[in-house]
Amino acid sequence: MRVKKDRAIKPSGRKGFARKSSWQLYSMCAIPVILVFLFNYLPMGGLVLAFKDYRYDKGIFGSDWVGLKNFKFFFETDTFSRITFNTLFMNFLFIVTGVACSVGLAILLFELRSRRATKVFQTALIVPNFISWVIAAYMVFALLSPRNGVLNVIIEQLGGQKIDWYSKPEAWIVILTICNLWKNVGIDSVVYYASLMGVDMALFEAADIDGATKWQKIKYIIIPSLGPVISILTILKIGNIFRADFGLFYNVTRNVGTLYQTTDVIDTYIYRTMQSVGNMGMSSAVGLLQSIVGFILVMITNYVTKKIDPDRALY
Amino acid sequence: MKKKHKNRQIGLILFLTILSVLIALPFLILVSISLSEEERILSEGYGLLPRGLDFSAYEFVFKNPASILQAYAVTAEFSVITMVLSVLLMALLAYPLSRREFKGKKGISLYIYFTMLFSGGLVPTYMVITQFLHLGDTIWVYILPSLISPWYVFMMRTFFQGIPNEISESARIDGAGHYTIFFRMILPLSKPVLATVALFMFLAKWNDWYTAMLYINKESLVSLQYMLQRIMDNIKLLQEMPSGMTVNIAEIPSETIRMAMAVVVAGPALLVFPFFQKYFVKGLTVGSVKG
Amino acid sequence: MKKQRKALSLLLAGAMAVSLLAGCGDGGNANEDPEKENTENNEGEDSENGDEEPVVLKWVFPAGEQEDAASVLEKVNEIIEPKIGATLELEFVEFGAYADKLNMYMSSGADFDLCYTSNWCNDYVQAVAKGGLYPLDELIENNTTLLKDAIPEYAWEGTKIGGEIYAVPNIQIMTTGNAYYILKDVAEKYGFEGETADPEMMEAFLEKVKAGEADLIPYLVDAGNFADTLSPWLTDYEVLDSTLGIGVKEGSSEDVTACVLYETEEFKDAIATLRDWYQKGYIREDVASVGDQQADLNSGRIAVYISRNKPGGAASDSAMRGQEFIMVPFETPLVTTGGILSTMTGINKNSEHPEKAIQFLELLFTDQELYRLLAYGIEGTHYTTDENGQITYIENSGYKTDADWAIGNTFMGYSLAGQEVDVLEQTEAMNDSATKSPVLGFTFDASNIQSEYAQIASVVAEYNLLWAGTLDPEESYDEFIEKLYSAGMQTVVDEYNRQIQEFMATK
Repeated sequence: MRVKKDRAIKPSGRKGFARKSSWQLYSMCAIPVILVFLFNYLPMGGLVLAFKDYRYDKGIFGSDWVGLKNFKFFFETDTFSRITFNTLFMNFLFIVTGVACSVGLAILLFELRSRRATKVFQTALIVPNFISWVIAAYMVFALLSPRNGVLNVIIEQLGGQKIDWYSKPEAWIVILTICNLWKNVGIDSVVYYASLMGVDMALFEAADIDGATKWQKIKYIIIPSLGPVISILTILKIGNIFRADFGLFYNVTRNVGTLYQTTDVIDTYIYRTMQSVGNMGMSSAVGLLQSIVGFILVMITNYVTKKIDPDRALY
Repeated sequence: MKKKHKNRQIGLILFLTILSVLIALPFLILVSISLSEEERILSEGYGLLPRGLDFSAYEFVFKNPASILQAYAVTAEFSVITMVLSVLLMALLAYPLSRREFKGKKGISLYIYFTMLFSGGLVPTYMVITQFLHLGDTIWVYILPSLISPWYVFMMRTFFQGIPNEISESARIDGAGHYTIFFRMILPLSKPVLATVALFMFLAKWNDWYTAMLYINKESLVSLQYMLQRIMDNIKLLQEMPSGMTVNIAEIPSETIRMAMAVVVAGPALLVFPFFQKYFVKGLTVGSVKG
Repeated sequence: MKKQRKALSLLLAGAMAVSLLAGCGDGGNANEDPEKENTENNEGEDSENGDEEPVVLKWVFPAGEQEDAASVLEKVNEIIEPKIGATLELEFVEFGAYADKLNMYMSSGADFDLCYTSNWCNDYVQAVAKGGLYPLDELIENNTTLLKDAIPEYAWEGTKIGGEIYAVPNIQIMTTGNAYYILKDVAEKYGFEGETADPEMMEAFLEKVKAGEADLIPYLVDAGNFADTLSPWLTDYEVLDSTLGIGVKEGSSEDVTACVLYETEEFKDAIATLRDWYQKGYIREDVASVGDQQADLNSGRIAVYISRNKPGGAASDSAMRGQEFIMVPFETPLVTTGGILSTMTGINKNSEHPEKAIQFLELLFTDQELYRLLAYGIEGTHYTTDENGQITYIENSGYKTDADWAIGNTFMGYSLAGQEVDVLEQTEAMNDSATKSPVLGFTFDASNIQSEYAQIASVVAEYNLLWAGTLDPEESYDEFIEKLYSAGMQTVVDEYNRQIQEFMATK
């Protein structure tokens, strides 16, 4: 509703003013654009490494071209289909569960009347985000350790059999999803909560007068007003769907080989490859591949979103 | 009606309380382990409550208090500078991108977004930073490369787009330029998003160890996370080096130190959090201006 | 859409332009190199006269920052400046960060002269393959007189890659060969003794330990460490690559062929035994996920582990871990390429003064005072000597590198108070008397099989719990071998044998 109102007002039309103000807008972008150029675009020259046999003494540009050789090894591997599937599947799972849980939590927080309670819960939800995966991995181990893990101690006390989680690949689909939620859901829900606070209160008052139920309010006011944020965050995440959170998949699983079936993803595989072979060209090649796939996926998602509702598109 | 309302609130609070406790549980374990006696951890396993009470892990971490305090100071310094500069610069960038009439909008958005997907990789970045910009071993290496994060730029842009246009339009009719509108109207109205991004940036920097590992050699510029990481690595290396050294490493409680380190790093950051939240709440009330 | 495409192509063009610019810079450097070498070689010849401004040699030193480095360096420079017309500068990088930092330094062409390199930290073979280290044969020939003889011939032999030396081997224990380290009181209580041991003896012992000591983990296994874990069974083999599982039979200097260790009877026997031990509880139940077991070792909760068979080994491990251990060898010491490659000093390929650097290394390996200064600091300020000629560090003195083994010839140094008095002599004797591997000096060049290497490494990581006992060999062994071969094992073995044959032919 509000969106329509925005559109009704046309930018002022005086030409001289428009030109001047346009320069002001450009000048605002100047410093950030330069910074991005220096720290992001300059190093991109190094992408040529993906097509080279890199030697220290010859430098990036003096090294020999090897065509697509660096890419070939990735497709040649037996594990190619497995790591690709795991990466896409787990990321998909993370996106879906992440959006659902964080929007849900944001709504619950929004429903709370007590400011103080909101504050306390927000803190509790966000705290995990402070913790690096390395440390989180120790926490997970403290819970799941087959010998002395807190969970196993409890299971035993309840008369059950200890479970060796680190030999059950299927379980880790769930365990990693929970870890990902634990760490990220709080911060996402605060993002959504923050944008919910921006919703026009008059809408709720009007809805109350019309006798709308809670559910109706969520459905017709809250979700639509979160729409742009949800869709943009999701499009951005889709751009990285071909990349995995290395810390999560490497540290939290403790790199246990038996779990690879479900936990080996592109980034962990490449890391292990680099550890054993140390070929920088190969890792550049896979990095470039991940970028290209991500780029294509974003173009497609963005295109589709744009068709449906231009306001929610990324560009 | 009223009573139903109240019940719902209580239910809500109960649910969120249980959830919060579950989320906080690993932290309890973390603190417990850090305070436990190493010996008992190894024999009895991890527990929800400390096994015994032993501060030796903390003693080890703080064995050299001057350097830890210095690391705290350096980390706080670059975290705060990064936070302030990045919020300002990203808002400056996000504002034009939120303006419909801005011609460079599409191009610049793409320019920014492109960096989220493509990066030159570690070695080229290292070369640019150390050999072209000569930022190695300066505090700026923590700050400058991470000022612009596409993700937050787009978050801000989205937020700015949600601010009713009438506000800036009326100012422009009065002859105000974009800078005036930006600083006088948009920023004050955008506290929620600014505070949120500020918190993110602060946390990201607070936990930064990789930058220090790559670019810092001066002891006086080492970040907290990296210093602790190094303490840990060095214990491990002492234990594994292929040498005939005779260093007594038996007294180093490595299990509990790990956890103590996590507490040492995360503790102060947790203290910062309520400070931000005050701004959240304030900002949030201002944020809901009638459109 | 059109506009977007335009913007995109602009960006790409921008990036290209940038890369071209950067390219010029880099290319320039590469072109300059030969000239530089020439002029410097000339300089090197008349440097003995020493009128010109002293050259500064930068050594990326494998130790944490030392507060009192300046006073040590002052003395060091007093020694070296008159002799080689160069002064030394140290950049301290501790081992925890060394591999990562050096990788960055080398790949970005950073400016330094000397560095630590080995087969476990700042990988020697990779550094050479990528052109990071300076070839030394000619340098040594033209600039030094004493260096060649200061180091045993077999050690030089071990550092050769394609017939060329790329680093100066530091001298410490150079043999490989393992021993059981057993908690002393447990060994005494359950009667484990002898000069040597084997897995059968061990099994009988473990059975008693398991029955008698409920709190102890009888036997340590580390799935990530193939070579050590399987060494009691593979005593007849020299492991050439512990990831690929490639080895050669020891003692057969006539017909040396590479074999897949994973396919040997000894290996099959080993994993069956380890599986059995796991099921009987000799191996900890959480072995798959436990990771770091040092804390358990140091608190005396593990009865038996495997480590290097070396003089004073039991004493130094006991001192380090605060528990009494005895050492019972099960392998005879063998001088191998791997043992020699475990600590070396190399010269940066981009070094501007390689001839000064090698002259400095010559001094380091021939001047005892210089070596002792860098390794231990200044006597009386940083350490004290006792009547046995052993040293004790002075606490918080500002110089304690613990790097004596990583920067030169340890036999020119001191032993520490508490070690056996003649530990250095014993070690040197062991080095010299030990059998030399028939493939000593052979280093595998993996550049032709990188893809296979990566794939095999991945398969091995997935199945390494076979030698931790948690994977059942009955179920997984055949699968493992099958996957190894589909990852290209045959190609690797063939490549190994081709290179070994080439190597033997040149010998």
